[in-house]
Amino acid sequence: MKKQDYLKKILTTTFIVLIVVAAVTAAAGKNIFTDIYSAVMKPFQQTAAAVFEDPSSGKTKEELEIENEELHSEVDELLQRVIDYDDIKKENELLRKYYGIKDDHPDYKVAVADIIRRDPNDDFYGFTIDKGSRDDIQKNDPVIINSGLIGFVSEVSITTSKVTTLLSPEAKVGAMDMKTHDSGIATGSANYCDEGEFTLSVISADNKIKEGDIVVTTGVGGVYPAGLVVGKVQKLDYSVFDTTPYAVIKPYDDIRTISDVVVITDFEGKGVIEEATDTDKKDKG
Amino acid sequence: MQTGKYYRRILYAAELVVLFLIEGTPGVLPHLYNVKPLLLVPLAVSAAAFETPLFSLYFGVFCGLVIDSASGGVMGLTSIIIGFICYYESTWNKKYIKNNIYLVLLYSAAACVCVVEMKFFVFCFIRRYVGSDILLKDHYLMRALYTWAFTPIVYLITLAASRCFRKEKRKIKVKRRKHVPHSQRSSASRRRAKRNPI
Repeated sequence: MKKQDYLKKILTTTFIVLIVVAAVTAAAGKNIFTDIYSAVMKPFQQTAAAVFEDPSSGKTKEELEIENEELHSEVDELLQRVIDYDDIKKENELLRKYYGIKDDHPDYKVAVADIIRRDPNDDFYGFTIDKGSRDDIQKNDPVIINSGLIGFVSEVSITTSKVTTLLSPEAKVGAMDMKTHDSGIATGSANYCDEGEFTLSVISADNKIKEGDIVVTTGVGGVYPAGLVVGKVQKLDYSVFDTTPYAVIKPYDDIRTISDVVVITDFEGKGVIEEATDTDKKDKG
Repeated sequence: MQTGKYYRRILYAAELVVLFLIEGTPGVLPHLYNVKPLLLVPLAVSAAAFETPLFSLYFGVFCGLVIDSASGGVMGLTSIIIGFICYYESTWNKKYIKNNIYLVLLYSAAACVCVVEMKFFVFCFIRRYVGSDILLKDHYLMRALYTWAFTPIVYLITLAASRCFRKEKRKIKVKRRKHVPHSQRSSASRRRAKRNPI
């Protein structure tokens, strides 16, 4: 008796649930249960369909083998095309990224390069790029990114080059404040390299440099083109040894983490040593 | 036996290439206080624990040359230090004290400190960079420590590589015979002793 009651309860509940479900789905206009079912069952159905597919395709074993070989070669060809496509796509993206540089400075001859190694022995975050003398890169060529100068080529081999960054004391770049035209030498320092910053030293005691000013290259010496952005002034400080002033410069991108760069292999005025006069500086500014 | 030796050395070379790629590829190893380890130093020291003095010397020198050529500048300074340490490690291993992981850790510590401090002396101290003391504390000592920390892992990999193609020496069991006086021996055993006096 009790068992029959229990069964009746289950039956009634099931019916009620089903009616509710029917009502809900009818009202919603979209059957959610069908979606769930199809999502769950689709893989099984596909497998089953594949297993029980009609094998009588009307082809002999030899024909199938030939077809298999043809398909294999086709797959290889398509794979190669995909690889080529990825390479071209990446190169295209890089070129598009640095298109602005070439557009702004038509006299620049540039080579876009990837960073392939960061030497653990280098304290100033120097790196190796995948372009060398084969790509017209020479020693001391300026290395830039979208936001400005980041270093120079210090060693060149046929296929790779080593770049010394502005964070290194080896780098000495003539630079000036774009607003006040106070000039100095942008060079790295052990005190600031771990923050990704460098200094503008050898500036006059009565300089008017302020925090936030943009610093650009002077172009004096013919090594670096004039007007390349180096960074912005982070703070002004004095040397503890001789109390000479210097400015701490922060580049617009973190030199320690960049992955691709542009090497300027040639530009107007390369190798031309010129005297930077105040009027020149004003013109460039 | 000879073939096994060559295969083993090819494995060391492969390990060298892999570790060199790992240490230099951006983003593979994390920076610890702005420094990255020099994985070839523990590799040379670990390989010297299983190899002959001559091979250890050559391998150490080669590892040093790879480190020097990658960082640019003066070639051969690292090679001298690593080659020297590896040669003596291997010689002492052969003559006096059998190598184990603790000894390798000791040799590795010596190699790391010598290599890194030599770099500091040549590249910072002599050139008188401003803030050399900061570099010594934050970069060079940390780099030595970080490099040394990789020694156990590199040692275990090298141990596996060295055992891959090494034939186990068969243990020759010498059974000691109980001495039986000649008079008490049986005629068969007397005949056997005559045939095979040893």
